[in-house]
Amino acid sequence: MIKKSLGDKIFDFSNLIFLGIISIVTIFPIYYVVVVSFTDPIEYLQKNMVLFPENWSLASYEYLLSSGAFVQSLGVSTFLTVVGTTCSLVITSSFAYALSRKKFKGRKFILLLVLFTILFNPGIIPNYLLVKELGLINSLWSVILVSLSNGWFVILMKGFYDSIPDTLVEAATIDGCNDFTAWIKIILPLSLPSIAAFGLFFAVQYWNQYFNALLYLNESSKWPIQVLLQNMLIDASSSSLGDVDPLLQPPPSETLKMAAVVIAIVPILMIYPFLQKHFAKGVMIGSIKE
Amino acid sequence: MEKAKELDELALKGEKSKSKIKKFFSQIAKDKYLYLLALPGLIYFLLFKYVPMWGITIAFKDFSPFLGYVESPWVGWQHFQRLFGNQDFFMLLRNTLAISFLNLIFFFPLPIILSLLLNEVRNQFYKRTVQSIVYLPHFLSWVIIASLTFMLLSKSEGVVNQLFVFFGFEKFDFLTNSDIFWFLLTGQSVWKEAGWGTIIFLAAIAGVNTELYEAARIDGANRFRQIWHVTLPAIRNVIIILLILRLGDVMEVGFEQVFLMYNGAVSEVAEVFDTYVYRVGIQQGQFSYSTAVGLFKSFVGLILVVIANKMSKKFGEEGIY
Amino acid sequence: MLKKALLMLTVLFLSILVACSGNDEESSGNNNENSNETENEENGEEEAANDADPAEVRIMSHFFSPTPPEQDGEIEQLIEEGTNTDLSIEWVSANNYEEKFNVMLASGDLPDLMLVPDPFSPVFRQAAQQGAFWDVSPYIDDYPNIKEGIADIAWELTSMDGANYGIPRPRPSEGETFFSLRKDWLDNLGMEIPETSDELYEVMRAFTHDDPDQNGEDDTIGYAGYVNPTDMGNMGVFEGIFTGATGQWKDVDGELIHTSLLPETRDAIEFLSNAYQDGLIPEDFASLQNSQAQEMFKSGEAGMISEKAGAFQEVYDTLKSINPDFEFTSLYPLPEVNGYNPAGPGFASVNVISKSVPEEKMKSILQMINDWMEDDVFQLHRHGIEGVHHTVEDGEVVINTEKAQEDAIGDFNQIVYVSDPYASSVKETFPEEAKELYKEIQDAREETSVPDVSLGLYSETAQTYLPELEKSLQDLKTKIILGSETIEAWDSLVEELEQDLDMQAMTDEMNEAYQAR
Repeated sequence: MIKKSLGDKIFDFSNLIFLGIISIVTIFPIYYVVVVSFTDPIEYLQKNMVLFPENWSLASYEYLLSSGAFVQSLGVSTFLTVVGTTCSLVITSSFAYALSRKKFKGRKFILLLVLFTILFNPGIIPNYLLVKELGLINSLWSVILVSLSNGWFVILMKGFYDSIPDTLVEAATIDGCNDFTAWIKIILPLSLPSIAAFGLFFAVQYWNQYFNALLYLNESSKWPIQVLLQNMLIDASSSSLGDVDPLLQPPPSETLKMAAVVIAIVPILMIYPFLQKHFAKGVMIGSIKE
Repeated sequence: MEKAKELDELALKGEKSKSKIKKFFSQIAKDKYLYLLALPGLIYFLLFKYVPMWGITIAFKDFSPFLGYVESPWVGWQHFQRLFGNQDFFMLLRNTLAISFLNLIFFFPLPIILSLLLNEVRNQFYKRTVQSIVYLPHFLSWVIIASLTFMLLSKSEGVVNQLFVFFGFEKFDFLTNSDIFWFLLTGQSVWKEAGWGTIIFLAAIAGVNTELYEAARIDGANRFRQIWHVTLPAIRNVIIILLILRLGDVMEVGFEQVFLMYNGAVSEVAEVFDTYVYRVGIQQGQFSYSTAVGLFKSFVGLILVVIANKMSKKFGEEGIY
Repeated sequence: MLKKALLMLTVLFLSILVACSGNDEESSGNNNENSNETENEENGEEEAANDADPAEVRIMSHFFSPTPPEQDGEIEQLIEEGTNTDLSIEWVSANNYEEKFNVMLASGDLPDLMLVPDPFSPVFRQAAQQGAFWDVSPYIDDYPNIKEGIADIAWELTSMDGANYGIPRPRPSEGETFFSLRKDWLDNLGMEIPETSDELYEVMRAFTHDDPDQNGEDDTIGYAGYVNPTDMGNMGVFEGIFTGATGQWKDVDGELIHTSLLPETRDAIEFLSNAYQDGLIPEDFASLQNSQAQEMFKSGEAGMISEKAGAFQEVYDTLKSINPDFEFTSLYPLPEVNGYNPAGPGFASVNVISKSVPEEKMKSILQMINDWMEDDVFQLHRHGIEGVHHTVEDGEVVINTEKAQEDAIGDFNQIVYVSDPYASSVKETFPEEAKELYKEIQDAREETSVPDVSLGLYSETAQTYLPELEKSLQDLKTKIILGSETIEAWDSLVEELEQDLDMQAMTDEMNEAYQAR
C-alpha cells in the first residue's frame, strides 16, 4: 500500500465535502415533497411552508391507494416498463453491437440512417397514422413500439461496443461460436455494466411515458400513471370552457398532488438497487483490452 | 473492331464487378449471423422512423386534414418564407440558442466532473449514497419538477423566499424575472440530469484498466494528474459522441420544461421554437407551418453535427459515423 | 448460469412475441365484430335496430376530475340501458383535449360523437366546411328533448353557413364567473358591499392591510388573482367592470371595437398595476395556477376571488374545518360592479357527429342524446345510484359527495347535460339559506348582465392574427402590472394597433358579420 500524501488527503476531504453539499441540495426538494405529502391538508393550507409537520397524516395516500384507477395505472406502468425495457435492450444492443463490428458491410450507411432519425422527426400526425395503420391504437404495444429504440441509444451503445476488440470474437469463433452465439455468450456478459445503465435509461423512459400514451390509448383503464399524474398536477382551464358540473370536482389539494408524485416515483426507484450492483463489474472490459 | 474491343472491355469489367458482387455476397453469407443480429433493429428503424418520414412533405404543402397528405396542394417554400419573415424569428432563434448554449456550458461538463469526483471516492458506502441521491431527480418528470419549482421558489409562498425573509434578506423574484429565466432553466436541467448523466461516464470509467493508475502513481502522478492523464483519455470517446449528439440537439430545448415554466412576464426570453411550434401547430392546427419550422430546426442540427463530426475526425477522434 | 440467463431471455422474448400477436388478433377480432354490426345496421333492419340491438356509439369527451369515470362502470351501464346503446367512451383530460382532438382530426380517425371545445376554431371550421361532420339541423325537430332542451340562441350562434354541424351543450347563461368575497371580513371591517371599482379597490386594500380576519397578523391579501400566458385568467373580470363588455369586442354605437383599443382597458390595467404595487394581489400572480389561486381563497388567506357561486361547497368545507363557526353565506357573490356583470351564451362547446357514420346511425345517436336528456337517465349523473351515491330521506335526496366525486359521476355532464337555470349558482348540497341568497343574487344579476356580442361572428383575418395579438397584449399587460413596463408602453401599442392593417381588416370583417346578423 502506498501511503497517502498530504495533497491526496486534502483532495479526498474536500471531495467528500463537495459531494455532500451537492447531495443535500439535490435531496432537499425531494424531502420537501415527501414531507408535504404526509402533512395534514388543513395544516398545509394554513402554514404554506412545512419543513416538519406537526400533524402527520396518511389521508392523501389512503385516498389515492383506494382509488381503483390509480392502482390500475401503476400496474399498466409496471407492465410497460418491464416489457418495454426488455424489448428495447434486446433490439438496441443487438443492433448496436452489429454496427460496431468493422466487418459489417454498409455500417457507415446504416449509422447515417440512424443518425438522421435523431435530427429529423416527422411529427405527431404521421406517427399517429402509422400506429393506426398497424392496428395498434388503444393497444399498450403502441406505446412500447414507438419508443422501442432511438438513434441516441444505438449510437451511444455502439460507442461502448467499439471498445470490444474483434480479436475477442474471433477467438470465440475458433471455439465454434458464430456471431450470434458469441454475442450472447461473450459480448452481453462482458457489457453488463453498460447494459444495466441502458436498461435503467429505458426503464425510466417507459415509466415516464406520457404523451404517446395520451395519444394512442383511448381507454382510461389502459393509462399509465403519468397520464393520471399530469391530469392532477396541471389545471384545466375550466372557466374558459364555461363549464358546469353539478357535483363540482374540486382541484386536488397540494398534499394530494405530492402524495401522487411520491407514489409515481417510488416504484421506478426500486429497480435502481437491482441494477446498481452491475455498474461495479465494469472492470472486465478494460482488462480484456490489453 | 474498336467496338468489339469496347465490348470486350465491358465484358471484362462486368466480370470483375460480378466477382466483386459475388465476393460481397459470400462475405455477407459468411457473417450472416452478424447481419441477422442487426436485422430487427434495422427493420424497426425503417418501419417506425422512416415510414412516417413522408409526413415531412407537408412542410411544402398546404395541408388540410380532410384532403389528406396526398391531395393537399403543394405550396413550395411559402411556409419557410413565413417563418423567416416573421418578426419574432430572431427572438426565437436567440432564445433557443441561448438556452442551448447555457446548457452546453454548464450542464454538459457537470456530469463529467461529477463522475470523475465520484470515481475518486474510496469509501464505497459514501460513494453509493451520493450516487443514489444525485440520480433521484432524474426519475421525476418535468411536470413534477415544475410544480416543485413553484413550491420552492414562488415569491409569496415559496420555501426559499420564506427562508430569505426568515434570515432577514429581501424576497427574490425567481419565476417572473426575465433576467434570470434562462439560468432558472439551466438550474432545473442541472438539478434533474447532472447526476443521472454520470451513469454513462461512470460506466465508461469502470472500463479503465486499474493497472494504468498503478503505473501513473509509480511515476509520481498526483490525483489530478491521474484524472487528467488516465481517466479522461479513457472516456474521451464517450464524451465526444455525447457532445456531437448534443450539438445536433441545439435547436431542441426541452419543450415541456420551457412550456411549464412559461409566463407572460418572461415571454420575450422564454418563447423558443418548440413552444412556438406547439402553439401554432398543435393548438391552432397549422400543421404544415409547424412542420416547416421543425424541418428548419432539423437542418440546423444536421449542419452542426456534420461540422462537429468533421472537427472531431480532424483531431484524430472517431466521430460518430 | 449463462445458459440459464439465455434461456430466460429467449422465453421472455418469445412470450412477448406471442402476447403481442395474441393482442393483435384480439383487437382485430373486435374490429371485425364492429364492422359486421354496422354492416348489419346498414343492411336494412333499420326499424328493428331501434328496439332490438343497442347501437354502438364511440364517444370522445373531456373530464375535469382527478380520474375519469371507470370504463364500463355502473353508471355507464345504466345509461346504456336507458338509451339502448353500447357505449365506448374515450375520456381525455381537459388539459390535453385540444391536442388529441387536433391530431385525431388531422389523421381522420374520428369517433362517432365527439366534443368540439371551440366551435369557432379554424381547425374545426375547416373540417366542417369540408364535410367531416353531419349537419344535424334538418333532423333535430324529431327529437323533442334536444330541440327544447337547447336554447334557440345556442343553435343560432353555433351555426355556420346556415348549417348546424354541432349540437350545443346547454349551460345556464346567468350566474357566470364573477367576484365573490368574504362577507364576514366585510362585516368585521364595517364595510358595505362594493358597487363601483373605487369601492372595490378600497375593499381589496382593507382586506389586505386592515386585518380583516382579526387575528392580529398581517397575513391576508385582497384578491386571489392569477393570469395565464395568453389571457387574463381570473383577472379578466377587472377589465369587464371597466369596459362593460364581456369578451373581446364591445358594441359602441352599433360598431364593434376590439376592447384593447378602449381607454377603459387602460384604466383597468392601471387599476391592477396599482393593486399589485399596494400588495392587494399575489406577488406571483403571473406564475400562479388556477388551483393555487383557489387555495388562497379556500385557506382564508385571500378575501376575494372570481368564481361561480356553485363552486363554493369545497371552499366552505375547507374554511369550516379551519374555523368551525364559519357560515356558508359568508361567501358572498357580488351582484354587479360599475353596473356590470357577465352573462354566458347559454351553451358551452358543441358535440359533433362524424360524417363517417351512416345516416341511420347518426339518427340513433341523436335518439341516444334525446333519451339521455330524459330525467330518469340524466338523474344518474346528478344523483348517481340510490344506495351508492345517494340515499333518499323523507323524500329528500341526500348525496354522498365523497363517493360521487370518487366515481366522477359528474363527468358525464360533459357529454349530455340538461340545463337548470340556477346550476351555476346553487348546488343541491348547499344549505337552504345559501340557496335562497344565491338565487336572489343571480336574479339581481340578470338585470345588468352583459353577454358577449361577438360570439359566433367569423373573421378570416382573426384566425391567424388574433391568437398572436392576444398573446402580445397579454404579455404587455402582465409586465405593466408587474411594473417591468410602464403604462406608456400600452399607449404606444394601442397607437400602433390603431394603424395596424390586420387589426383594421379584422374589425371590418367582424362588423360585416355583426351587421349581417
